[in-house]
Amino acid sequence: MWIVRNSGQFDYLIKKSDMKSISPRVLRNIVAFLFIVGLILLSLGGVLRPFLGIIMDPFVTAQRWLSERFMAVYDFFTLPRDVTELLQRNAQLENEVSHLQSQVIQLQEQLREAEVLYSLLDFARSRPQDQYIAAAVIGKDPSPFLHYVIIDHGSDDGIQHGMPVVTQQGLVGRVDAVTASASRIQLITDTESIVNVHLQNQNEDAQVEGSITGDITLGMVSQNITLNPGDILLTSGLGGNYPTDILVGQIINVEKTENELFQTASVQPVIDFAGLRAVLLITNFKTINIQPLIPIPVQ
Amino acid sequence: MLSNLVSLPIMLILSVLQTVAVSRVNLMSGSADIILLAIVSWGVTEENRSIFIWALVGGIFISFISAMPVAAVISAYLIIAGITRVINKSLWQSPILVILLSSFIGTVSKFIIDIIALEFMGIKLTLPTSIKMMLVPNLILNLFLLFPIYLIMSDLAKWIAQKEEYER
Repeated sequence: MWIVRNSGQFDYLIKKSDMKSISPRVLRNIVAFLFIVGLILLSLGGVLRPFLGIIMDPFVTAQRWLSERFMAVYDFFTLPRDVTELLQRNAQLENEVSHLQSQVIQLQEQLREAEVLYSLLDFARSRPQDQYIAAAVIGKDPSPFLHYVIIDHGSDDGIQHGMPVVTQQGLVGRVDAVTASASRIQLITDTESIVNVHLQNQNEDAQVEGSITGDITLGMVSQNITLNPGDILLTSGLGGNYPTDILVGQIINVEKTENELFQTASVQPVIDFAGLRAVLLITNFKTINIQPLIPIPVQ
Repeated sequence: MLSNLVSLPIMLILSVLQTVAVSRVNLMSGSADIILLAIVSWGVTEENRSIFIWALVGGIFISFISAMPVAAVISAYLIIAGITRVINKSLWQSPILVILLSSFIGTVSKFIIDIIALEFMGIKLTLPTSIKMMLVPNLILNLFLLFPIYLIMSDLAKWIAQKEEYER
C-alpha cells in the first residue's frame, strides 16, 4: 500500500510498511523518563529549590506536629508509672541541690576569708620586725558621726589601748577601747583622728585628718611645697602613735590658697573602709605619750 | 513585768543587728537606727510606762558599743521615748501617724543631741553638711525600716499581752 506525503512543493509516495511504528505506551514512558531526568537535573542544579520548599514546608510542619503528639502519647504509655516515687526523688534531688548550693556559698565565703588572711600574712612577712594579731571586723559604730569599727579580739588576746591597726594595704587606725573579748578601733577617717605623715617624694612632714563624712584631708603642708595628685603618703612616726612607713593614701586634689599659711589636699585612703573584713594589730609597738613634753603656753 | 524583761533580749538582738548590719548600710554618710524605731514602735503598741525601760536598756547597750558619750546616747533615747509618749497621747487613734511623727521628730532630736555632745567633745561640725549627709539619709532610711519594725513590735506586744493575761 502506498500513501502520499506532501512535503513542500513535492509529493512523495511512501510505502506504509517502511515506517517504524512507535506505540503510545513506549512514547509515554520515554516522555516520562525525559521529564524525570529533567527534573533531577534541574533539582541538582538548584533551580527547583524554592518550589520544593513551598511544597515541602506544610508537610514538614504537619509531620513535626504529628510527631510531637505521638511522642507525648508514647511517653505517657512508656514512662514509669510510679509518679509518687518520681516526686520523692525530685524533692530529694532538689534538697541535695540546695544543700550543695549552700555549701558552695560557704566555701566561697571561706575562700574569700582565706584570700584576705593570705594577703595579711604576706604583709606580716614583709615587715618581720613587727608582731601581729589578726582580728575580724564584727561591727561598726552605730553613730553616723563617728568612724569606729569593732573587732573580735580584746584584752584576753593581748590587745591594748593605742595599738596601731593595719591591713595588707595600709593604715586602718588605732585601738580606742578594749574589753575582754572585743575592741573598738578608731579609723583614720574619724573626725578626731590625726595621723602624722610624710610625703614620699617630697621629704616633707604633714598631717592627715579625718572628717564626719569619712573623707581624709592632708594639712599642715607649707606653701613652698609642690603637691601633685598621685603623691603617696606614709606614716612618719612622729608623735609616737604609729610606726613609720605604713601607707596611708594618695593625694587626689590639691587646694592651694595664696593667703593661707598652709595648703591642703584631699586624700584617697588606700583602705576600703566599707568593705573592711579583717585587720592586723601591731602588738609590739609601744605608743608614746608625748603630752607631758608639749610646752604649756604661758598666759 | 514581762514587757520589761523582754526588753533585754530584744534590745540586745537589735543592738547587735544595728552594729553588724544596719550601720554598714549607708546612704551617703547616714544609716538607719533600729533602736530608735523599736522604741517608737513599742511606745505606740504598749500602754504602760515600759517604753522608758526599753529606751534605757537600748541606750545602755548602744553606749557599750559606741564611742559617743554614754549620757548623750541614753538621754537621746529617753527623750525619744518621751516624745513618742506625748504624741501617742494626743493622736492615739492613728498609730501610723504617731510612729511617722515620732520617728521623724525622734531622729531630728537625736541628731541635735549628738551634735551638742560632739561640740562638748571638741569636734567641730559643719551643720549644712551634717544635715545633708546624715540627717536627711537617716530620716529616709528610718522611714524604710519603720513599718517592718512596727509590725514586729506590735506582734510582740500582742504576744506579751496574751502571756500577761494568762498569768493573771
